[in-house]
Amino acid sequence: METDWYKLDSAGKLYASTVSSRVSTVFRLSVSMYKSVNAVFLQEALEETLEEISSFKVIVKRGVFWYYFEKTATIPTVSEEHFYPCSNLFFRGRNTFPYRVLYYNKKISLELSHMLTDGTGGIEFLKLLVRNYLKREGVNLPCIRKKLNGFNFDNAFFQHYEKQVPNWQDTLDKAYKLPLRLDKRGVYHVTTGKLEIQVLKNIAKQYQTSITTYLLALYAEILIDIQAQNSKTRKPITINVPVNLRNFFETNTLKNFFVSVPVTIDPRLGTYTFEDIIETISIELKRYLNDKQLKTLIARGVRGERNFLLRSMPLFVKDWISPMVHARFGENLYTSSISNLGVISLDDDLEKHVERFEFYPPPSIGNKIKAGVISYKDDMYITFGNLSNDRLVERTFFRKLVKEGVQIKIETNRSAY
Amino acid sequence: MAYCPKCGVSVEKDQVPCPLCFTYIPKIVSDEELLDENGFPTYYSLYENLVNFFIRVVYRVLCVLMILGFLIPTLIDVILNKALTWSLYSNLSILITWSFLYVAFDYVKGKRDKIIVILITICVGLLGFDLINGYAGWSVETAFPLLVITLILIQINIAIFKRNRSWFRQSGYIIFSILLLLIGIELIVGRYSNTDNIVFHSVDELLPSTLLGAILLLISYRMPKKWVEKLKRKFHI
Repeated sequence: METDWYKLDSAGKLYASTVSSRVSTVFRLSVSMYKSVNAVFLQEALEETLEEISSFKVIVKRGVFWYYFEKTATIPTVSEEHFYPCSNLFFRGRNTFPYRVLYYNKKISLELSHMLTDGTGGIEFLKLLVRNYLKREGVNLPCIRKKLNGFNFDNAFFQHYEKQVPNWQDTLDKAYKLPLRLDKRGVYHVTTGKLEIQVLKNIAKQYQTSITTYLLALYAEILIDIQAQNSKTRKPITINVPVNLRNFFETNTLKNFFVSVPVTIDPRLGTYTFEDIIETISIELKRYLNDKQLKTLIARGVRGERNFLLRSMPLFVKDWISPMVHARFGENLYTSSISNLGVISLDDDLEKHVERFEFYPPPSIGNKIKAGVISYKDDMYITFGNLSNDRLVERTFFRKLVKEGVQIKIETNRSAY
Repeated sequence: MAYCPKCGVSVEKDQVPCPLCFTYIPKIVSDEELLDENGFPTYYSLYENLVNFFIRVVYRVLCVLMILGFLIPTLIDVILNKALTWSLYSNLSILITWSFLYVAFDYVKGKRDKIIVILITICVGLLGFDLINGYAGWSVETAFPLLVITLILIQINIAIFKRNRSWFRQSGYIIFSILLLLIGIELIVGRYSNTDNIVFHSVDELLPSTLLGAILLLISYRMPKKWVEKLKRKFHI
């Protein structure tokens, strides 16, 4: 018999209970067309996409011990954008879809809760939505049914968890927190910088490193400078780098399958030059980014979820303590986060009709400012999501890139602009 | 394309401050180019609406309670005494409270307007209580002058604090202000009650408070730097 409910995956379970007014766990993936979006076509495209990926046709329900997804016959309605990006999806009761589809002018936005999937799963859904939308716009596209059958909704963490693998052992010190004042509840400022990948690639090449490492180093350098200017004491700068495990382990899951890798630069040890920062980050990433080390991070996550004490706690207790535990043992250990979804590629037939992709990171009270990176065609889009109205980090970051010779175009939703 | 000379980045719009550094960007982009941009809609916070809705509900509930508080005592008073007697006091109190709540729930916008509404409410309240009591004149002769003295003293203290921002110095001024207020109260109340020999009870407090206030002001204005350093050295935390 086909089941009409799904369990949340290991990461999704943690995210589900940490949802609060400031921590929505919702991230946004947007795609911009060359023409204005037709809402009727978009609604039809969404319905077709949900038929094709039926595992997304679910609502979030409360169980006694965990949240779960229940299949539903209802279809979410696409709506025009009104609220700030990445606004909360859930209120008490939580009988809502764990995602929403929005449109504005030429832009289609898919806002997803991390309970359901991660960036990769979201991109696959969005690509299909765009394909189905463009079909309705009259674009002639070949059938892709075969390719879709490859996706599943399994918990890949369980599949790749090995009993004999020990937990991730590293301990992290409390990280430096940016002195930012929170804006009003529900307000989320995004600032996107559009730049050419090739230019950035050439600069990274000068430092003999990859684009991701270069961006991380640049960001770490800025955070070190901000700490030096604003704080008398020194604390480690730790940047959270979510890593897509699909690049290391065989799986076709559309659920979450990523781990957070911490990259730490400790200014207490002395002064770092930019080259020192790049070297330190390269070593840190090399240390973590192999299947053996990543298995220890998977083991930690799975064991945490399988802990009998945690499992036996009623959901209302989990809802109550999870935000505190997440803040104390999760967010407190990081200064900020950079999430790179990589280069998005579309079929040639689709590419002609799609101008750009954007990725907004989920807002979080522990890391008031986070960065999301996505690349499409020849351009890269770096978006800072900020819960504060302070623009210091964005300003310093983009000015540094301009100094290196990168041409940047800034777009923001800030009200004063 | 519009461009910020300070940050070196291109921006979507001109004739607005740079989104990163607030430097004003002059008109460069044509209106057609602006129309071509995708841009952002005017965003609203999901919670702002909820909080406002909740505040409005609380205010309405309080309004209903106050209407009941207005009607029930009036009815009881009329039934028992066949006239409006003590209920006039409670009704006026409710009206004053209503006015304060109207300001507190942010229905009056602007700091200046809020202060004006509060002051008018206080004056009307004082005069009203006096009139209900059969007009003895205490509102005009006593309450209003005292209100004016208090407001002047508060205003002076705020002005001094804004200039100096030193709590040590301000403490001295606050002590002197309280002393002046006490003298004022005794003078005005004594005059109102037609006492021939006004006994200044505040004289008892005059010496210690003048001494303390003077010491505080003297220290803050006239203390030699050498002594300040010595004190800092001994008492630094």
